[in-house]
Amino acid sequence: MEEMMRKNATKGLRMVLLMIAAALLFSSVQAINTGTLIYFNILSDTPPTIQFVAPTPLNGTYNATQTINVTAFDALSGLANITIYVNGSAVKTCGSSPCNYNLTNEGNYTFYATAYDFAGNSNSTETRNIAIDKTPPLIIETAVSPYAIINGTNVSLYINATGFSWLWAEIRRPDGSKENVTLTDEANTIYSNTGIIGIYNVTFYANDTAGNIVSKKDYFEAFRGLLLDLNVTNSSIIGINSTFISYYRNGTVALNQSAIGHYIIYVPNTTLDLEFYAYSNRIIVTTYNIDIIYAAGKYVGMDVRYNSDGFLVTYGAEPQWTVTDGKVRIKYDDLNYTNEDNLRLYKCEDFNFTAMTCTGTWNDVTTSSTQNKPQYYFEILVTGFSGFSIKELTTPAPCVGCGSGGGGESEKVCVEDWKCDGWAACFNGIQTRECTDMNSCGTEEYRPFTRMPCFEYCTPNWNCTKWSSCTSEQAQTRECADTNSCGTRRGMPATSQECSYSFCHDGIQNNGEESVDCGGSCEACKKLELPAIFEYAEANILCTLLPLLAVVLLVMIILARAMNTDRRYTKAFAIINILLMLAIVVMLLPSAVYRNGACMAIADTMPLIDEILRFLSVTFTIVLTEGLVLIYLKRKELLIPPEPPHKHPEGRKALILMIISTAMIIAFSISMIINIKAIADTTTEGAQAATSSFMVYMPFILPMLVLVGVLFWMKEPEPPMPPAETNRPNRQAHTPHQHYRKKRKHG
Amino acid sequence: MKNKGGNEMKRKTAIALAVIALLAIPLVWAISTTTLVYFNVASLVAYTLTLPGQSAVNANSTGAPTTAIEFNSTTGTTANVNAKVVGGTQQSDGVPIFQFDNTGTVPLNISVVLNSVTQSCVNLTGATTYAGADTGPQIGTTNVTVVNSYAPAAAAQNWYMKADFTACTAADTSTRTLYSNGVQS
Repeated sequence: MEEMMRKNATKGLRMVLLMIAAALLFSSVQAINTGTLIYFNILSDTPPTIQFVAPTPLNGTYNATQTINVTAFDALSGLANITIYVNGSAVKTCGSSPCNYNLTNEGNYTFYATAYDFAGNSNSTETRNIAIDKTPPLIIETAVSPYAIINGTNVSLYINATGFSWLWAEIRRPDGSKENVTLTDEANTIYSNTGIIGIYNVTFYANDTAGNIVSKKDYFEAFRGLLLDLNVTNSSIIGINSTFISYYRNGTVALNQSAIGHYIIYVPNTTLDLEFYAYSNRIIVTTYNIDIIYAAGKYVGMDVRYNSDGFLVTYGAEPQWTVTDGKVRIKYDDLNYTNEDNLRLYKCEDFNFTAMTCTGTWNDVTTSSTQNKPQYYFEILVTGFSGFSIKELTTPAPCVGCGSGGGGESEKVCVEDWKCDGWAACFNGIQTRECTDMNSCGTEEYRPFTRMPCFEYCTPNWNCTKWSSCTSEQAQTRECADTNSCGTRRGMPATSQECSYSFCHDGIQNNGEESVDCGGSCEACKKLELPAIFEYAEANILCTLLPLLAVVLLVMIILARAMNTDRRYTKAFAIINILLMLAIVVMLLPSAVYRNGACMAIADTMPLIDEILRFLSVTFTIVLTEGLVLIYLKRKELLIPPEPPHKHPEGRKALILMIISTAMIIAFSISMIINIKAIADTTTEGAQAATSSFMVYMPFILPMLVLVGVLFWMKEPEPPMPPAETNRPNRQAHTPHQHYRKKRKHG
Repeated sequence: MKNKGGNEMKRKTAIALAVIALLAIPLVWAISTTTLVYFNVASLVAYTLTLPGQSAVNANSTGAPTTAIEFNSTTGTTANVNAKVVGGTQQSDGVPIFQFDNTGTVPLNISVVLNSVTQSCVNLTGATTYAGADTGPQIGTTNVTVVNSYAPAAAAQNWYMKADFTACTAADTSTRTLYSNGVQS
């Protein structure tokens, strides 16, 4: 069994091995391969890419030359050319990319570009439409009305322009801020942001879609408001129907009409041109450059007389304020004349407006006036108002009621000639007067009014403060208040005026001064000049140093007496003190000279403390030094030496020390003079500082040093020799001092 | 004393001899056998084909497919158009379109052949060098030898192909299959 199984196994193994061998044999002869798919492509060539690039304009309107800039690319056959077409025509062909063409002239353009490749393919850009407009808009007219306003009120801005796309105004306010206001063509636009007083600069702008922009500048001003009460009356002080127009920079500020000639209006508080129309606008009186404050509460007289004094008409004009620049226009369309060319204008030299009569001479001013025949008026510039009359030279004496035309014989009639008294005071709102017809015609056709309403004006009572100090702007102000509280500025005194400011006494280096209040336009700054010290310093010495000398001498005498010093020592101390005094004089002199006299310095506020300190310090130093020396000498019992001090050993030392001390002080003073001069040559402030610091405190130091040296240098006196004869104290023994006193007492 | 020294010497000598003896025991006890060893190397025909930028493809008996290649003409008349892997790298000097590698154990003869003739306006040529491909043998339905007796240990074998388009039109766009055959030489 096992044998059999072994045979089968062997057989199977042989089969496997045979199969493996067969497989190996097969594999060694079999070809292997790979397959690769190959595409042979004949590509249909794509057209080139083409596009506009910046800054090629987009569709729109431009105000400058525009460049058409085109780029194209062909990746296959390559770019053959680019052609730019403008308004249907090829204007440029380029062999490579990019391709540019400038559109320079104004006009509308339609353009595109086409690119070709070498395969014949082409491609084109989109078509663009642009316009080149280099012509800016035209601003025909602008207006700011009014030019002067009361702050917070409105201003009208007007513009008339053509060829624009947007209209606006830039307003630069007085505080520097800007504001844009959109405007409408040929219309007024209200601007109301005028709260700040000052100048408002207005720039009108107009632009178009092409970007062209034009501008025009103007400005207006905002002022504080002033309540103006004004009356236009006739010669009888009766208010008349009139029109009042105020102008600023030739622009109307306000137009008011009043049947009774009474105007109470707010106007900008500035200088205005005032124009008054009366008698059916047949007389127009204009006064230029009137500070509106001075017109407040005033009257303007305007009246007319027909057929008076041989004139066709006589107008009187009399503003209550001073006029130096004015104009009068008189229309004669209502007069009866035969030949307009014969009309003459006359002006009275001295016209009595109340009486409406010329008390002087009528002068023919026709040649200096302007006659406007189409509009029937004369116009004349004047420097003062008066009476103005029109006469026809060839016309017979005019008469009233003769009818128009003239030329025929006129009917003689009585012409009323009314003369009136002055108006009585206003009472209960009514004024009256008496009028008399000088011709006694018996008619009252032309009788003036004898009653009129009036206004009981509050009369201001101005109470003003004192003028303020004059400022560096050469002005001073004050406040004035109306104690009657009339609410008007009428008659108010001036609240500001010019003054002369003294730069040389304000304690400030200004106005070109070289130092504080000196140099430049002020008095020359003072410098230390040693050679001249003793020429003019006597007064200074007398007023500052002599008191010091007196004090020192007094102290010395007191000390000498208090110490009961020997006369010889008194002399010695006197000499020492004199030397000290000389030293002090020398020390203080530079300061005194610098200050141009200590008297002045003491009188001056600023250096007073310095002077006092210096005086006290020097005095105290001398007193202290001498006192200590004397105390020392007394304790050493040297004040009553048996012999003169210069013969006494310790006395000589003391004298030597005193002399050395004095010499040192003198030397120090000389050195200080030199130093101060050197500093003063550079700057006066430096000299003052040096004087203050050194001169005040150094006198303390040197004498004290000397005194210390004395105390350490001088020897203790030798103890008295004990009596040889006795061992107990001798009751008759005396100190040298006592001995000296006794010696003097007994001769 | 003398005997003691002699004993010591004897003892050291005995130890040395014992060690030598121990070391000698395996020598004395070693036995040996003999085994016949066969080093068998099978005759394996195998190679890989690598296209630029692609993974190597093992050739097999049924024609392992590779990534497709293309020859493009933009004008219809273009000479020496380089082969290009579709969507990939284009053949250039130093970058052959085919790179064969003998991975078997026997030398190979490798050839290429198209499954059908090209359009008449297209002429496909190949060579083992880039420049040679311009004027190399035309590749058609007859095997073109790429390399003969390509030893297994030899370096990779390059193959460049170029196509000439002459007056072709879009209608001449066509597709062919290129077989690369390897047989034991």
